[in-house]
Amino acid sequence: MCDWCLKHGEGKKWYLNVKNYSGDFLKDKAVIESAIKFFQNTEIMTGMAPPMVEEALNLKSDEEFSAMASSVEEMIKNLSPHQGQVVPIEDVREIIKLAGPMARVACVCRRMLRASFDEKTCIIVGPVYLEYAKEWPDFTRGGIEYLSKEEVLELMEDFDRKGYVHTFWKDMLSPAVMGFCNCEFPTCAALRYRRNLGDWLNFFLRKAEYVAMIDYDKCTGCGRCISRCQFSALTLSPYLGKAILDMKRCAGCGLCRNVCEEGAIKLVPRTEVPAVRNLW
Amino acid sequence: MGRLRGLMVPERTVRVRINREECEGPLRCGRCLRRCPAAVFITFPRAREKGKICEDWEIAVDDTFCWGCGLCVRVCPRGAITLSASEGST
Repeated sequence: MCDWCLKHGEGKKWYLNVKNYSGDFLKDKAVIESAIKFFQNTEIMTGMAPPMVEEALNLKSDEEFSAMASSVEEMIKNLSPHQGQVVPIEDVREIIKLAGPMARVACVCRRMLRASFDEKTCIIVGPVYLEYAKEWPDFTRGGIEYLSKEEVLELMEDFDRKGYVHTFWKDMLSPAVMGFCNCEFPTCAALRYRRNLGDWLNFFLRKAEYVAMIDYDKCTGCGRCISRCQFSALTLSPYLGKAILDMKRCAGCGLCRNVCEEGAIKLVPRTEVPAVRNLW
Repeated sequence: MGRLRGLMVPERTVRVRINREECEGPLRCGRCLRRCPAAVFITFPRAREKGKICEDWEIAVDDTFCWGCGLCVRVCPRGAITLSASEGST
């Protein structure tokens, strides 16, 4: 946990602190401005505005690249240390208990990467983001569908079975909650940068508070878990005849655990594993 | 992977170019976007205003992530996409 988490989690995980779901954020001008900025510039905020990417790629000399790198570093410093975090299904259930009104909209990333408004995997969580999303029909294109807590839970469990990684997002500047995404590689801005660029852009999507651990004695090498990993952390070792897990890559989403028939995979708190406790 | 000041960026080994005069546009066609396994094509509205829906979407390519399978060239009904080796990499 970082200083930001300690401050806004008040001893708990930040997303389990009821204050971050408060309607008081609706009176906070800075939070509302930040939400509007997000709806106005979704592509830039998710790092997928092509002119930006192109510009970075066309830099020829090391000096130019270094200048770009320092401006990115400077920009990151001004934002809060994480925007989103991977959450396993058990924490999703806890979040839904705390959450206010919720609605699903077309996935923010898939619309940019697949020109599709059919995959409604983004679940906006009130108050601020749900209230202001209505004013941006371009953002709610494909429809906005209000859901009860039970419906959201059922939906999230469906996504879990399908193999989508659950992530929970917050406002760019404040701890006000934004909503759930259900992500996959490569059609997710956060996951593609995690996998394609390595960990230096990790402020955008932090790994879960957990990490998976395999009980190698129980593993039969059936390979079911391997097809579930969106972070390329699992491999089938032909020599060992078992699934092997690169815990440094593991984001702790728990998808592999959910299909293990032997119960060989469990999630343990990241802070209890010295090798990965500082890898977020 | 190239590494500069601790920032990792994939090496650009292939260039994907779209002939925008031939391209029908991502919302009317979008075959390349939907089929690309690496999802290197990106589309976004040219302008966004409060209370309005934008129908004019631009298309771009982030070809550092391209694996070079060539599927986009085959699925484009207008032959607007070309794939070539990158001249000089980052």
